[in-house]
Amino acid sequence: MSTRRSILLLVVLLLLQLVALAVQTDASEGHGSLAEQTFLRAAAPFARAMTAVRDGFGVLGGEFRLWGQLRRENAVLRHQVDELRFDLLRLYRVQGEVERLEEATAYQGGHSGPFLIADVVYADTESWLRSLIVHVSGGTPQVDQPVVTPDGVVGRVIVVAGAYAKVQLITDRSASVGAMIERNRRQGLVEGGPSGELLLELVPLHEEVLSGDRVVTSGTDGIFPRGLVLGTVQSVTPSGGLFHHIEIDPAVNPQQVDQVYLLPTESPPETLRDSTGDASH
Amino acid sequence: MRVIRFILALAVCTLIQTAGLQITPLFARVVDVFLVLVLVWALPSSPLQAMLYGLVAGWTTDALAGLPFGTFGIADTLTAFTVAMVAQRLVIERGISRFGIFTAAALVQIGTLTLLARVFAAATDMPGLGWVALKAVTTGLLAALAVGLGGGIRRRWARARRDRGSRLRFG
Repeated sequence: MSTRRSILLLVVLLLLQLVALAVQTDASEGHGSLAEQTFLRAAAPFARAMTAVRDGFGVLGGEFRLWGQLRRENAVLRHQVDELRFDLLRLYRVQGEVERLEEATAYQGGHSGPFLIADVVYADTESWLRSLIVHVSGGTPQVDQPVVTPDGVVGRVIVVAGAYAKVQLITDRSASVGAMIERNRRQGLVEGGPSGELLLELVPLHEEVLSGDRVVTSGTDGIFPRGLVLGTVQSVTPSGGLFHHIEIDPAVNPQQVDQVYLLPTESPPETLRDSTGDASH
Repeated sequence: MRVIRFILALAVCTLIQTAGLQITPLFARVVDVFLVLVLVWALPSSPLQAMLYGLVAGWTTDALAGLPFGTFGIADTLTAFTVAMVAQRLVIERGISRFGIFTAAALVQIGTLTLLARVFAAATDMPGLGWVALKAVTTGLLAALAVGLGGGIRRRWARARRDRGSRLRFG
């Protein structure tokens, strides 16, 4: 093939890809093209296999190390179980009161229903964009599903390919989550910072924000239910404008996550989202 | 056959990338194993073949990475084509020459990626100059080593076959 024809072919191929890229970026976010889903389906099993190998070695080595620790922990845990039994009794009483109050005010709770358990098979937390690939064994993930651990929010599903899903971390620079300071219920917007930290934006200077304040989801972004932990305030400095510059220590370290939960969520109707704008995108 | 070998090599690269990221999250900043594969395969290929190798390897990287799908596809296609064109015009015999060409190609890929990321993913973290230089050098070095080792193994294999053949003729 002549050089001129090769260059022509290259230009055509690059142009086609550029158009596909532009269309994809412009279209509804994150649903993933057929090519992306196909390549994710093909590549993710290898990542999963490597993770399984690592886990296998980890289990073997861990068995030896854990033997001594388990005996000590057992004694401590027995003591904690007694304490928790007492707490449980107290919580049953509180739950009864809450249910009676909910009934009285006809309030319907937020994130109820079954959640999906997913294994992290690939984590890229330091590259261009921060993301995870997870494998869901007992169900089908959906785009925009919140991803959490018992410690707090991890991110949201952006691409689904069969049992595999790509998750955008909340620490990613292009991610944002509706948030509030738990102590005074002041709402703001949490965004990913340049070094893996979180930034709480849009909190006016006259609001009191203290180091150590817990920041939770506000439920205003239409994706994350209210009350999930995002992190704790690390530092508060005046930004020079109308708002505080607030750095948050994320509740979840994505580098240490190996299993996550995908919460069920019911997004607001498209018409409402379109007319009000969506903070999470 | 060559295509099957390429797909197998791609699978191995996925395993290496996953393992590397499990060892250190900085792995993807230090080396691009998929680009190493593209460079090694593009060198002896025609520009058309190189483009296709670059496209498939780039899309595999895209599937795993967080940038909009197709970003690595474009960058790797362009890089593979450039390497194949250069290899057609120059006689690249020495390891140091290969290292130089591969490092320059890695810089082309990173430059293309940076440009595309600026256009299609505005909020992306751009890598620092130090990381860019390190990644280009590491990728270039690994690709040059892979080509050198591959050539050595192929020569040894060919010599062994020749020897066996000659023994059969005269024995």
